[in-house]
Amino acid sequence: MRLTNIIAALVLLGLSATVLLGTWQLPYWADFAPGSSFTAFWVGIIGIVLALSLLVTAVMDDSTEPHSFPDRSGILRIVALTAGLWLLVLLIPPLGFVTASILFCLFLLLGIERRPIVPSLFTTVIVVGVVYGVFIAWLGIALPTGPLGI
Amino acid sequence: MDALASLANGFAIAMTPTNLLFVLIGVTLGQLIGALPGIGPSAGMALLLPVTFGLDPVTALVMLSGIMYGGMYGGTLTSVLVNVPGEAASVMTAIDGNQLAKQGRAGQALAVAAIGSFLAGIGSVTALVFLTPALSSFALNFSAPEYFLLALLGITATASLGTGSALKAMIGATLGLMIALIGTDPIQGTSRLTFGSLDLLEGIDFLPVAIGVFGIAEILVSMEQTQSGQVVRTRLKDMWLTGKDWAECRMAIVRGGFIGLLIGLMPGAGPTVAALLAYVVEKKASRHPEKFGHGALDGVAASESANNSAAHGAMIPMLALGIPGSASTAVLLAALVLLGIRPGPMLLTEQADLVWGLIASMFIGNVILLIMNLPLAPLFASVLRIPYSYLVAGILIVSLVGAYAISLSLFNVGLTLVFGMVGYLMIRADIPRAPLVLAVVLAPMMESALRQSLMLSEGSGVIFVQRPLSAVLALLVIGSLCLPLLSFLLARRAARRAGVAEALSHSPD
Amino acid sequence: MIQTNTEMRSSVPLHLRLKHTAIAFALGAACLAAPTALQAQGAPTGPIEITTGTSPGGTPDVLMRRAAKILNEQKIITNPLVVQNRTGGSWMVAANFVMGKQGDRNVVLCIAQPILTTPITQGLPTLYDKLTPISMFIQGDLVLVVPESSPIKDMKQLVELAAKRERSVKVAGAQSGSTDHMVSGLVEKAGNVKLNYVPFDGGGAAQAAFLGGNVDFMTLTPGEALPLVKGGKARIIAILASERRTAPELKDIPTAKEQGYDVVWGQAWGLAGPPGLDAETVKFWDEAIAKLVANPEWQASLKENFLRSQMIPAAEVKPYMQKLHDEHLALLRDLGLAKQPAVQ
Repeated sequence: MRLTNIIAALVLLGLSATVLLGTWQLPYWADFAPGSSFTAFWVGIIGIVLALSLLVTAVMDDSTEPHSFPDRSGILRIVALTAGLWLLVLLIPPLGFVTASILFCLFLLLGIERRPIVPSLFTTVIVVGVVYGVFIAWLGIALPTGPLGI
Repeated sequence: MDALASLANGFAIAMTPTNLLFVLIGVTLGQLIGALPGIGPSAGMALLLPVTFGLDPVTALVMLSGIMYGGMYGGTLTSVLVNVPGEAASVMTAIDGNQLAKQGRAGQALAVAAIGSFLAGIGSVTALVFLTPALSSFALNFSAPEYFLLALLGITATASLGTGSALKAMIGATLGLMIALIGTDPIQGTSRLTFGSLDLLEGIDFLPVAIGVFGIAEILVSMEQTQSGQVVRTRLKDMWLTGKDWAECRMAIVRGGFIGLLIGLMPGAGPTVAALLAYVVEKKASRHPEKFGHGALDGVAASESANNSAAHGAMIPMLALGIPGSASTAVLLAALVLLGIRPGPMLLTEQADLVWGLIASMFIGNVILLIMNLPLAPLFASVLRIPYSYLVAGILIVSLVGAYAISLSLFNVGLTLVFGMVGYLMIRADIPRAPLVLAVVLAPMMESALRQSLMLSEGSGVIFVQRPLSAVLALLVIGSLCLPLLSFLLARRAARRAGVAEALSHSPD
Repeated sequence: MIQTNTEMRSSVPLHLRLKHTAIAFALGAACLAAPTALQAQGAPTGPIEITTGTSPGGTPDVLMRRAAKILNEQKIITNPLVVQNRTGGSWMVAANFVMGKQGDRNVVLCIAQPILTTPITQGLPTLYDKLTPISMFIQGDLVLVVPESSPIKDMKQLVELAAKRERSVKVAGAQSGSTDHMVSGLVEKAGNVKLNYVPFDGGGAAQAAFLGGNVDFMTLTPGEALPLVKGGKARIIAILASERRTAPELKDIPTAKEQGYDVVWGQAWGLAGPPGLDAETVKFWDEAIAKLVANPEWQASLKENFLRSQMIPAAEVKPYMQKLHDEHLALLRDLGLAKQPAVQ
């Protein structure tokens, strides 16, 4: 947990610095009221103060509470799932939402979860059917279509 | 008596077979649309607006408003069952509702949400019947200074909102504040932290944050291990509220209902703000605040009562003044305009049949929703009997389609994934997510209102204590900041005394 | 924000009426001669998307849904018309979606003010001159209102009050750079005064602040203002049109111009195609919109909301948009909101 906290503090420090630097050139005060960078400035300052407090408590902390991230296989599963999700987003424009979703469902169920093939196919059909029936057919939402026209 | 006579007339109008049918259609659609992540009641109403073109104005309005409050009931379902907020106002329900579902108490969570929504809804419509003129002029007393103090009241509560250390809760809130900064500054029109991205110009939508930080993040955590196929098995008869549950939630519903009505009245805040503030207040009022975040039934009751009550409360400024108090009432107003009815202060007198028919239909609609939700709560809860692996595939795809539907762009889908990853890291770094969500909703309101107030007062801070309502709110803010400090000091003093006494008693004399 | 709008002029200028007749005649002849020819060569196939940049319920969204409904119902256009809300980036997400559909016959963009103003305020390349112009066909007026209890009775008193002390007169309106903001800028310019413009989060919030007595005046559409006047909550002091409107509810409202202040501003909506849209499709739309504008149901629905529907056909819309853009640019520069360089 100690290392996690130190990393979290550093990330917050970085974000706060980004907020401060990104709004530095904007007006701080305008006529009667605070300007565009007023809130940003104080949010940045609060962020830095909190980050430093967390850093100090973490560094001083000598407890040996383990971090709560999963083991190697858990991390692998998470990475695979996240990669799959991002791949889904990348595949939507060329393949269309429906086709990409089918591929993702199969990847998730057969690739990551290693489920039997029949229920996996069944689930995929149901999910895609719901998406098609509710979002496309009923609500008429223009989901990106692929070469197959859906 | 006048109101009662009008209401009776309204019931006569709402009870015609056509109107009854359309109330039923409206609330059923609302329930469905509310349950779909991404598509909230206002988007659903707009999508179905063309359907109403050929209808009689009363019929059309009755159906559309049915979607509006039906959505408040429906949003609960996805929040509780799969931790994906079905619509923005159900976001606080996801926090405790899903914890309850994991403990096998999904049925209770859904039941108490339905009952709370029903009671608060009926209460608000009753207020609508008798107090509309008074409440609408009361609503106008709320302006920028009051909104600022209200948002401040909510934000200062974030430190207590976490389940762990106050420092981490404040860090969560700060992350939310940073997210809220992104986009065009509404007051001066400058773009902040958009890094040249057009998609960020209007800021980050609340739904991708909510769906990502709650829904996707939760899935990532649960996917760390292979799903063993085990599911929470509960018997149907265990899914009803016990007397103890009911006793716990009674006051939460009342408080949530009142807060919801009050916030719903205000043209600058909608059901989401109402649900957030009701949750925060409930945590302070509750006898077991430590349970909040770990499955507090009264937390669910408070926020669900508040959002339904606010959805109805927003009808008051809309009907009495023609001002939309929420995104949904904005669509209702647009529908009125399309139907050739000009909303405004004269609506109540000029279109008495329409208004009273609508009000009466809301009584009927809430009853239908209660009937639909209460006996079916265990049935809905049985969704959780589907093995998690299969459920996950559905939740992920439907959430992402919902994220796409917000603005029909892949940008929001990507954003949802980003916030899913952020949420996952927050869970693992033990940073609570509720303060983040609270800050994302309240920070823009707080910032704009502060600046608007100072512009209205030409730079004088006196405006925050000069107006009667703002003075009351300012006292509340000071009170909420000082009370914990005071009780902390008192506790320490008591502890020291006890310590001294103990030391004395042990001293060898 | 709900912006219902203005009146529709009961007497369309003669030259326009003649033009409509001519178009109708020509169309009629064309249809008689070859009823399928129009469809075969001109019409796109399949559903057509009308892209808007507002969230559902916003004025342009409502107007386009109404237009699509009538176009389809009256069989003026047989392709299913679907209105899609591509929100974000103050209309830039919608605009960029259409901009990326080079020559696509199945998508058109609803043109509203942000298509002109967002590029100006954000310093982006202009869009109006890159899209294929189709037609502007909905117009709306604006009025200035003061609370009923206000001592201000006309423009002159308003300007006099504002001249007493700089930034003492408060104006409520929507976000910075919105129509309301630009009107406030015009009043400042015409009266040579400085106002205190307070931007709220949308028109509803601004109206609430106005009705709550927090500000001195605001800009509304006649559709929003008249019910308030009738309910004894507000008083209209001027209409920002170049001449008085003829609708019975509006004919007694003096224009700002006749009160000696050159404040003329309105709203306009229309359609444009993606860049490089072929002339056939433009013609298809031009003809369809001419029929829509001539449709009594459409005219009646706009009239109810004090909007007008006069068609600026494809042939004339380019210079019209150019002029509109230059006006917006000049005004936003005066307000200090323009990031774009002066007119090239």
